[in-house]
Amino acid sequence: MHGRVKTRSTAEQQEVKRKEREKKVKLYKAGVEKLFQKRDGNCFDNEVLEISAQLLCANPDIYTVWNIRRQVILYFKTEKSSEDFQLLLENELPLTEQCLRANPKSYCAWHHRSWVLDTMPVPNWKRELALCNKYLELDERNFHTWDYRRYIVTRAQVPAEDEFIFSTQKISTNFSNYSSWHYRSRLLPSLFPDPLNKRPIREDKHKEELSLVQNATFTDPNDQSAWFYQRWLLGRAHQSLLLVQAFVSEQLTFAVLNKSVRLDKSNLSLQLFISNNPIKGSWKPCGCNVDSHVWIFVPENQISSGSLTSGSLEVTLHHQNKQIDQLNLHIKGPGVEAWGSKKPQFDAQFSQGLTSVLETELDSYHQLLDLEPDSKWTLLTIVLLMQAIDRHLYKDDTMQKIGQLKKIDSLRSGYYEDLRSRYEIEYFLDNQEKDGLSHPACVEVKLSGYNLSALYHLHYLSLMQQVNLSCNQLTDRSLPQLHALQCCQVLILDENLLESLNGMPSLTSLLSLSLKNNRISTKDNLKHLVMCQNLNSVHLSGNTVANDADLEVYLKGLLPKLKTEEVI
Amino acid sequence: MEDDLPTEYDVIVVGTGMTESIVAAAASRIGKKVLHLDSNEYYGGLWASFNFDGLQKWMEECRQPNKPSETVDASKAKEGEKLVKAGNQFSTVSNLEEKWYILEEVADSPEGQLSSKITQTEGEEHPASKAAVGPGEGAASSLGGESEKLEKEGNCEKPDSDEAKDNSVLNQRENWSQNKLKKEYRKFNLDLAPKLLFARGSLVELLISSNIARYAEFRSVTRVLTWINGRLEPVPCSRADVFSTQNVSVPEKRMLMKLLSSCLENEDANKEFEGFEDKTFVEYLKSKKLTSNLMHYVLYAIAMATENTLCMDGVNRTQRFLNSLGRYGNTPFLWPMYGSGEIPQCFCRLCAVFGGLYHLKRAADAIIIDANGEKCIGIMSGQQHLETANLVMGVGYAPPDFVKTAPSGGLSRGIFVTDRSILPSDKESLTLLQFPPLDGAREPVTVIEVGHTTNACPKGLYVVHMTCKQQTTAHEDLKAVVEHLLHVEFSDGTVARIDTDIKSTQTAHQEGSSAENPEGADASGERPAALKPQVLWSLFFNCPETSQCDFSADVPSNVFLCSGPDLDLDFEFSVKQAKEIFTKMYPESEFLPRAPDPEEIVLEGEEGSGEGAEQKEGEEQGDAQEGPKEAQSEE
Amino acid sequence: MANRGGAQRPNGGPGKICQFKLVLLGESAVGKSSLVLRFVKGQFHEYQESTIGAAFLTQTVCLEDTTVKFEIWDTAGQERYHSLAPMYYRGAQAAIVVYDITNQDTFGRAKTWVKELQRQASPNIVIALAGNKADLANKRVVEYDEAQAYAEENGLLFMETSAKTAMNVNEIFLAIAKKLPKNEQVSGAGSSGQTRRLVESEQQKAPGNCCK
Repeated sequence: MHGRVKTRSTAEQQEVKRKEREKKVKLYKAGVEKLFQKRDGNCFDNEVLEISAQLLCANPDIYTVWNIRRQVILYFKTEKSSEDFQLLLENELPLTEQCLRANPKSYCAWHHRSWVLDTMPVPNWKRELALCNKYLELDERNFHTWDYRRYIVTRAQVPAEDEFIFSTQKISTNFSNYSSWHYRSRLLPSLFPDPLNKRPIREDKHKEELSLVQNATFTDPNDQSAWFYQRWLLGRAHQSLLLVQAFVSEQLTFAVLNKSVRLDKSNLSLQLFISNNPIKGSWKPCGCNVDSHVWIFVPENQISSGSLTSGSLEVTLHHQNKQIDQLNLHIKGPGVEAWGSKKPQFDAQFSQGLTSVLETELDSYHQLLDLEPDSKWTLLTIVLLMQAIDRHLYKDDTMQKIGQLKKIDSLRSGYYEDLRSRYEIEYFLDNQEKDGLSHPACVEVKLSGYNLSALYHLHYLSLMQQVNLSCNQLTDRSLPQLHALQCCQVLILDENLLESLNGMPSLTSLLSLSLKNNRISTKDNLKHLVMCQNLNSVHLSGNTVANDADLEVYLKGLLPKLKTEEVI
Repeated sequence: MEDDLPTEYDVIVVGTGMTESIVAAAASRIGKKVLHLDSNEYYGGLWASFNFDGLQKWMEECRQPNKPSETVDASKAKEGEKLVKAGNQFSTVSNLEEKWYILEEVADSPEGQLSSKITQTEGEEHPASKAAVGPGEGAASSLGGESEKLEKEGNCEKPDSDEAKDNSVLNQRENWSQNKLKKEYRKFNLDLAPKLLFARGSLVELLISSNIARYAEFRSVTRVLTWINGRLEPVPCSRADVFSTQNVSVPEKRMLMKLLSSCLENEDANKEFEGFEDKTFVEYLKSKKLTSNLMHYVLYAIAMATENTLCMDGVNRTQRFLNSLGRYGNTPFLWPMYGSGEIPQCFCRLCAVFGGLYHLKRAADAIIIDANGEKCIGIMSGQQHLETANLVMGVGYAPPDFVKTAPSGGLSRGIFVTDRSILPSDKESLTLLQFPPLDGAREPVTVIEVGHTTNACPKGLYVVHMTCKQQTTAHEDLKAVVEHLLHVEFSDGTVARIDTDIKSTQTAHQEGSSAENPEGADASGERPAALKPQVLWSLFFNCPETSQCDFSADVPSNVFLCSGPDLDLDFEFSVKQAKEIFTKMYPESEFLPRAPDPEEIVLEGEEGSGEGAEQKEGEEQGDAQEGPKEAQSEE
Repeated sequence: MANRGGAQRPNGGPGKICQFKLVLLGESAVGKSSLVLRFVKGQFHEYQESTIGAAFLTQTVCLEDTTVKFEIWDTAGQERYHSLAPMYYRGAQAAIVVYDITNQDTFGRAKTWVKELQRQASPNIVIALAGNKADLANKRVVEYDEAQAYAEENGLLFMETSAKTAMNVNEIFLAIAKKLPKNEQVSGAGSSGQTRRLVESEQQKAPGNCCK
């Protein structure tokens, strides 16, 4: 019966495998030990390469072993002829390939491969590009491969056109691929820049891309990757940095920008001129972050009220010593203060051509919505399109669609609430503008009863003296946003969901704060009132804490200027 | 000069068709002693694929009148045995019609063409004379990638070298003669029964689970076409196709995807299809307010149904299509390299690997039945009396008495060798086209087009297979579709035939003004004849269709008959039938358990075969009788 | 053992891996399976039974810069009644045609197989002729020179082998490995172009992913 064939049973196979594994572990440990010995002895030879290769084939993710390998290779660089060195590095490539076969997402192996190519006397980029293509065929979503591809493309100076064609191919085989859409958004602006700088890419290409995305979103409205790309396409044109408000008084001077920036890191600077004389001092971000919309001026010498009586006042904004914007200030009554303000800009400001494209898009997505009434991405896109086309025309529709989104995508209802809050505030600010918001002495800004869940654009209210945010859904997390209210003297936060004042910024102008009917329960939750040292009245009725007998004593301890009769 | 075979078996299988081969493999796999015979010198019977030469031989055999049946020597029967002569009722094809459309020989010089003899094998009168054009009058067009050039052959102008290179790559404008084609006979693999495999169909699953898959290679069908509004159009069948297609609007894309999704959702099926139980699939589609384009795609190309298909049947067919998407390639279908005839051979190999005995050119001349006529004892093969516990037989070999309920159905088949694809594209395509029943025609026609990358034919040529239910003769049944898709006039190679899209108006104009538009087909609004593939050679035949008949009625209980090729796209019927036969023979045994991989094979005495090798010897004796199987673990 | 097993390169890297289908042909009982078993398992059995279940084995051969993996197909006895299925040598890149040096008929039959391969198999197939049972030199009837001359004429590799003593067994496979064209194969496993073997792992993809 010799030579008859049988097959291993599962148990036998497992046993064989277990033994093999045991042997491997033993070998592996011995290998690691030997390798480290050799390294510690500065012994760089072929054996190190052999051992480390075996170790890496077993586990490609040990950075140290790759490092030792590179040390040896660099050592050989001085030892070997250029041809031999090339050969040595050539042989590194199959090793990384084997490692990547075992783990296609091994950072170490990918990194080693690019190191090898950079070190190699004559790298073969074409081959590498072919490898990328092959790997992306196997797994079109492996972002390591995409990253590596971008590296190869840069080194090999592959024309962006070719890469654009490649990304088109990848998308046509499977459009559920963030990487290829993202790659596209990187390639397009360099290939087809918009001469008018109004949209991300040239108008004709922009239309093409919107139509491509539409094909994807209609084919599968649940696929996020295409929608994300569409967001990029619909993103509003780059807005330049502007000075939007400024205020000067003896006690307080600040400037407001339309974007939150970090001055020092962006080569930006602000300068205050009084009667054409630059005033020395430094600008500090307002709030607790390093970047801010609102920048407070700390003059070297106090600005005297006398200097506000006559002549001109202006603030200028510079980028790399070049003035990019300026704001002239009006003096309000001699010796008191000066202020300046520009109209906020929330419209997308697209060209007529693009707007009509967007209108067609909007029609299409209404069609899609008819077919898929519960598609959240479709609804959201319709909202974004309406906002981009004509915010005022579509106000009611926007709010209604957001309400719908909250229902069908309840998990993200908070996100939709915030979005609605932002739109509410934008609409509000637009209207205030008509009513003369820019006048800081206007009676009261009444952002009340909008059910706001979050605060946006408050820096446009930096000059206002009375701000009413009552009857909203504000929680503690919105408090830091209040930092922009630098001129605010009376702040009303009644009928919100505040549980504490944690996060309350320093508001030096604030005299009266009303917190009626919130959810503040303990005195300790009020400790941040200390940030507003000039407060003389705090209203707390309708909070549990109001029943605390020691409340008054506690507050007086925090706020020296507090008037007894004003704690209610 | 006959080989002596061992005389006792568990299973004798007669015929190497698909079902027979699967049963043979399954029996051998569980250790049964199997003898597998085929009277032909090739594997597969009516499921075979042939090279061009082999096909000629096959046709010759088919044309020969049925041999006078040899009388069976009754003296060979033992006492108490009856001999029943084997038959050939369903192994023969009919209405065989072969035809050439090119010259027998093409000389290098244009003049030579005139002297070439035109030959035709039997068939109808041929319309060659109309198309014959003298030298110098005709124009040969050169295909140079996208740019087309028309050149007078008389000028002997050669395209410039770059284009010439392109030409040789595309190789489409080569002048084929009969002799040249015959010389390349080995490069053909022509299927009598072309079959596609659904990527998640029962055969693919069986090939994988049994590990027989390693014997075969496949290519993915690259596109599914349909015939709509008088032209060919790719059907968007995968998600990627739907995304990329220019042929449907974006709202249609959503409607299509939505419909396909609802066909896939089994759980909701009850609600979705409520009220359509007795209605047709078309009525369901109409209720979904699909545009007529989409209706066409779904009904004819995806469900591969007809207007009479019932709703749930249509849904099931759609599911079958969709479930097979996304596994291999862009369509749900696979095509076997070297043709469908490879598949039965793969099962035969497994049978042989597990000890099955193979003998081609060896017939079962008679079946030996016990005196009561209830049980089969064995077969007479030549002078040998071979005994078996079970007899599995292709219906083609069955004695007439075994198949009293003769099937009336048949298949109409057409095979065409052409000079280009029915819808040319950048890369060679592997195409499935379900041609809808048109203009009152009753039956859809399955069209499969394969090129040289599947080893179906030499580079530059295509093979088009057509199959439909037989109504009259193959030629008649397929005529309409042939005329829509192919150019079946005689060509002596001098006629200008412009192949390109009609994009270039200039070319189109020249085309229109040229006198060589034999059919004037563009008047009818169809694509001009010159754009269709030129048929070089064609073959029509009718083949019996036996999948519908009940075989158990008139046979002894241990005899199992196997059907010949059926109309379905895939081999699913054979897989099902083979499984049923196997289960009847060995109800307790597993059907084609996984064959071991090379790494799992240990030879006795080999190191690492496990410590228990010695104790297990007794057990292994037992194995020997049952043949190889996975050794039992001792735990 | 030298050329079996591990596939480590001089500097420890794996080199490229090429996979080839190799088929064995020849008359029954010339020692086809014995050659394979000697090569793959290092074994020999005097009274080798027919090779049930083991007609498909793999073995790796290590060349300087390449690892060659042979998929070795045995006839599974189908040659016995001249009934070998053509699918057997489909796509084979290499073949060993075996005869028995003590049996003239088997040499004649080997020539027939060579012709068959030249006719039917792929045009680039590497064919080796193996005169097996070289250990039985005293019973030799096929002369070495005759076989070598024939091999040269037909462009075949030629060696006399003995599965029993292992003579030239590894060598003949190695010689074939060297002669095979080794194209750049990034991924290793050898499916050419768009053709595919069906494998289990591809099952993992969800069905009907067209709509999901």
